Amino acid sequence: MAAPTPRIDLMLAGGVTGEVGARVAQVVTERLGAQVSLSRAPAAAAWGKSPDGAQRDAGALLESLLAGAGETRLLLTDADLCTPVLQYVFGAARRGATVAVVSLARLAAPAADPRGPALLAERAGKEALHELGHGFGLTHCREPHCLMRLAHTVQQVDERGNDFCSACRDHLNEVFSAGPTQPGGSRS
Amino acid sequence: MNGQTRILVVDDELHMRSALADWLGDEGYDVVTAAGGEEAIRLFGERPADLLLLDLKMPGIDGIETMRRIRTIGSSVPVIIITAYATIETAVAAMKVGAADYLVKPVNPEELSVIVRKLVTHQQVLQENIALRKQLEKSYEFHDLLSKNARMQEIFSLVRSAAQSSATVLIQGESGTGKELVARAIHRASDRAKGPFLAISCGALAESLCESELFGHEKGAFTDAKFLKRGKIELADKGTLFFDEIGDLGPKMQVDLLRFLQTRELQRVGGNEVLRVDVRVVAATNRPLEHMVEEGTFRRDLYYRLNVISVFLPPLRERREDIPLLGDHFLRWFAAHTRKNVERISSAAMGILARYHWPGNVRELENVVERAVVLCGSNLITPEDLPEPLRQPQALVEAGPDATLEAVERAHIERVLAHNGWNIQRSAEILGIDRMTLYRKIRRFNLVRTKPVPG
Ligand SMILES: Nc1ncnc2c1ncn2[C@@H]1O[C@H](COP(=O)(O)OP(=O)(O)OP(=O)(O)O)[C@@H](O)[C@H]1O
Ligand SMILES: [Mg+2]
Ligand SMILES: [Zn+2]
Ligand SMILES: [Zn+2]
Repeated sequence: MAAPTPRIDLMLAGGVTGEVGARVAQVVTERLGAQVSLSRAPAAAAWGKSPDGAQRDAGALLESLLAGAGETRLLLTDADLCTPVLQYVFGAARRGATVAVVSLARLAAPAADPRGPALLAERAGKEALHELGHGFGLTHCREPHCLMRLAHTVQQVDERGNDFCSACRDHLNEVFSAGPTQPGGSRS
Repeated sequence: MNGQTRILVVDDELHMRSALADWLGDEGYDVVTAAGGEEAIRLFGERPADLLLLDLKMPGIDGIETMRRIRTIGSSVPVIIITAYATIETAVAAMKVGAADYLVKPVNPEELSVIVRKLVTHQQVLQENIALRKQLEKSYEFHDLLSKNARMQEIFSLVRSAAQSSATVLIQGESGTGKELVARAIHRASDRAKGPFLAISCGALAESLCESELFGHEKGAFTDAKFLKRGKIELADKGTLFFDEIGDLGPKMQVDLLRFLQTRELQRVGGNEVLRVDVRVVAATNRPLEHMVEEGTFRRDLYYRLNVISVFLPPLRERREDIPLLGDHFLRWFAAHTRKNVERISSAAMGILARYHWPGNVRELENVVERAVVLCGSNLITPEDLPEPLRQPQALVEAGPDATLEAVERAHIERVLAHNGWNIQRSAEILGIDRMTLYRKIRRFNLVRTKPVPG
């Protein structure tokens, strides 16, 4: 019996371009077999980069995302994220597959890098899958190339492969066939 | 590798503690958390961690006090202090009490990861070094004997195989080279180890007393013999008998001992009973026994009887690699026994020890270190703690016919420096080298300027 298809609302905030959004939507569709609908976040929500460039608290952002409607919401933002404990995070998720956020602020390639926008989109895709993985209940994984491996530098993001390892993949399949999960704590 | 590394995270704020624990757990470490100083000390006492992450500001016992208390249990575990306020003072205070590093909240994830990995690796290297050192020292050790010298190592293996038999051993060497220690090692390595080890100092006994000392006497054998007395040989049955300073044994005793060695039987003075005794004989001397045989002062037949297995202990100046090993060994021993917190011999002091010619060999070194530990006012033995004669250039290796070129060079450079009051320019001119070369040689030979002797 085929697992039910997860439905994911992908929202773009601040200056995140449609190209990056489309690329992320594509990998999420491919890797998770999800049905993704792409939209721009309401300007009033103030989820994008703030005018003064100040960091946004990842936990607070997840809270305000939770208030919206839909099965699973993934936000891509150009705001830099932090938590009370960590100076920065690349993303965060609330376990239970309802909300996740990925920041592009630290994922951009250096201006001189010819792969520029493509590399940013690739990293954003990996981070999106990583945070959604947390959302679907996965914890960090020790497999060197698994998407669920912990990363706190872009090099480490790049070292990860483009897919989940078989153990993490098994877990995802189980979650998808069991239907929506209960909300839990948040992970970055 | 990270699997066994245990990290103790101490913070009074739950979210901080659990975020750090999750995060480090994901990095592959085994993480334990404590909500305060007391709990941390208790947990650490139950099972020490390899690394401590300590919040600075906590109600009750704060981070610095927690670290201080963990240090007083004798632990040198690396500590990372985490503080919410980045002030120079807290950082300095943390480093002063021995924190390995400090981080400011919120923590930079990359920094945290790098610092933790660095400290864990460093700790592992330290641990491996300690293990390696122990292993090395082990192989330099034969019972109480320490040496990394090749000739000494050969002696250890000779002694090891000699111990298996009951063959007589003759140990020769200058005073203080460890002859008695070797004799005891032979005993302990043999299957007689459970039996007695008895030493007889042949030089200390008058010939008349020597006989009854060795062979014993029956009651009434002579005027003073009010009781039966067993001799040392008899008492050493199933054990080892050590004849120290055998070169001092008088002519009559030489004959008596020879007879015993031939028959392994004896009679107490004034007695008729013949006793069979099973002893291993080890003899030692610092006198040139072979020369005494030529001279006629020591019996040739006795010499052959004793010299079944022959051990020549080299003087300390011919195994200089042992000086640091023995120096550290004696330092640790005396520091422990005098309860003084002396940890190390400075490299300058060690340089002096390494160059001295040690006429009194290991015993002299032992005495010098003992004296230095007593005099030492810090945790480091410096040249000032060494006896004056050692610090004089004259105490250096004399350029004898067997001195190495290096030893002669070193002694000469030191002499020139001393004569010129350590004026580098003048000394370099006399030596015919430039100043930089002289500096390099001073460093290489570990030369140190000793204070001029007053008067
Ligand atoms: N290799 C060694 N390792 C450790 N300690 C040593 C070693 N050699 C000698 N010593 C120590 O040096 C001191 C002198 O050793 P020992 O009494 O065995 O010398 P000796 O050769 O019998 O001297 P003497 O001829 O003056 O009687 C002792 O305290 C002994 O423990
Ligand atoms: Mg002796
Ligand atoms: Zn995995
Ligand atoms: Zn993660």
